[in-house]
Amino acid sequence: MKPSVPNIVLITLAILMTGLATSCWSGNAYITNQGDNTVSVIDTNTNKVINTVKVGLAPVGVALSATNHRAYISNVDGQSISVIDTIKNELINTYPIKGTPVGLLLSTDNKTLYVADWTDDVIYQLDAITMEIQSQFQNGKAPAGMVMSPDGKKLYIANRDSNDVSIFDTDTKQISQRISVGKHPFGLSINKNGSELYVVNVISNTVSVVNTGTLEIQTIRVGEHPYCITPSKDERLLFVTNTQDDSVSIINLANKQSIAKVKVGEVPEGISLDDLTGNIYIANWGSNQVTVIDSQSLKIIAQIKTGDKSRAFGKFVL
Amino acid sequence: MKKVIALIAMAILPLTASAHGPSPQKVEKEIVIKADPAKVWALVKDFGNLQKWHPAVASTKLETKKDENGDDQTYRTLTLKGGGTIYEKLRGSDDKDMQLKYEIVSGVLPVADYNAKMTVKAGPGAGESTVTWMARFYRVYKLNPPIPAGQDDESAINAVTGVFEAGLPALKALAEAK
Repeated sequence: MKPSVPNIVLITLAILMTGLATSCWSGNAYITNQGDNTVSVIDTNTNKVINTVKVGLAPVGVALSATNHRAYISNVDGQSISVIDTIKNELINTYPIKGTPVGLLLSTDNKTLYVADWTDDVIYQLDAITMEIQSQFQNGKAPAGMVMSPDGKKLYIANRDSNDVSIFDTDTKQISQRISVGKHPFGLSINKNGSELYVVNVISNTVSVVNTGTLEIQTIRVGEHPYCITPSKDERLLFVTNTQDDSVSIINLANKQSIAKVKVGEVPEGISLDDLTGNIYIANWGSNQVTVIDSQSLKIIAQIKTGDKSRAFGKFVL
Repeated sequence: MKKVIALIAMAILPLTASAHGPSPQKVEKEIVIKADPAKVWALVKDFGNLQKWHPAVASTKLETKKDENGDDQTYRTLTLKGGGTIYEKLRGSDDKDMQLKYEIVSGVLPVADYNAKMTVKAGPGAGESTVTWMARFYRVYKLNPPIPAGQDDESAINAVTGVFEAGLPALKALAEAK
């Protein structure tokens, strides 16, 4: 018997609703707590910690994959990568890796995990499921933040001690270019269409806005010892953590001017946008908490107690 | 006290402005002082006179230097009773928030990229102050394990803890003295 039209509509509706329910469920922030070797999982709908997962020693970096249902965590002193199941929010396994893993990034096709080794200046490419190293390449000094162009063709890497950003071509597997930025670039972010790259220069107290087509750079002054950056959901604003004045600088992207500074917790490090709500999440290393800012009102709407020395380096809201 | 001086003198190591290790460390200590916050803040903000209250410090020399932008920057050299010096830069002194911020440029503590702040708050009781001293820093050794003795996280944390634990009770004693 052929299903009648109303049945098809009902089935389609049911599938749509399941999809919606799944996406609502996935509103979680994964916060690495360096001091007690855990990850706090925050439900971004309620802004409550729903689970605390034991990982390796001194976790710092985070990369997430909705497709793989996984959160990848770099344990810098443990010299390992922990993988968390983001449905159950439980540890799948912890995998040893050589060196000093800090920055993590998942490729846009969800197949490759890039791991930046802070000490040996190497980028490892791991199979995101088996966690086996597939290849590696030598890079600039002290690689930290990484982002990828939306088409997956370019991997940008901030090299803290070379004061530049590498552009790695994922087709030719070569570094095609290195762009000079400010002193000690650390956190990176990129806009949705990939036309602008945002680089945080820790020692210069600035942000470099790089036009990825022309490689022209505009420089914006922010607060003391800035670390990480994210655009707002509507891409009108940039939010930057200033670790040494316990604040977040807010930049108007239209005129590249700093328009406000919001006091957050102590020593704010990681910052991430929740794509669902548009809220901005900030991990405060000094006060062991996460601050949530409403990107419309620019007001703090929640302070969430996490673990000791929260860092959350990378895009940490799924 | 002797232990602090020994700890500080033990590790005479150069500090450099290049790469640091991957995990910042923290020491945070707090003390309640039975004295008016304004009085306590006056002692804390006196960047050129740490020897007034810190028992490990023999003398403090204050200097002003121009930075690359031509702005005046304030530095101090602490000469320690146990030998050695610590050269520090004032990063900020905020009377409204009663907060002093400084960093170590070079010196004998076994730390790298050290920055600290001291904050005075009113309370918990009337006429009382709470002083919080917080430092963020890295161990001296910047490479992968094995980490040489005296250059690890524990050595760095112990040295800074020693400085704070010797200093805060002495600050309290001075501020509470009639």
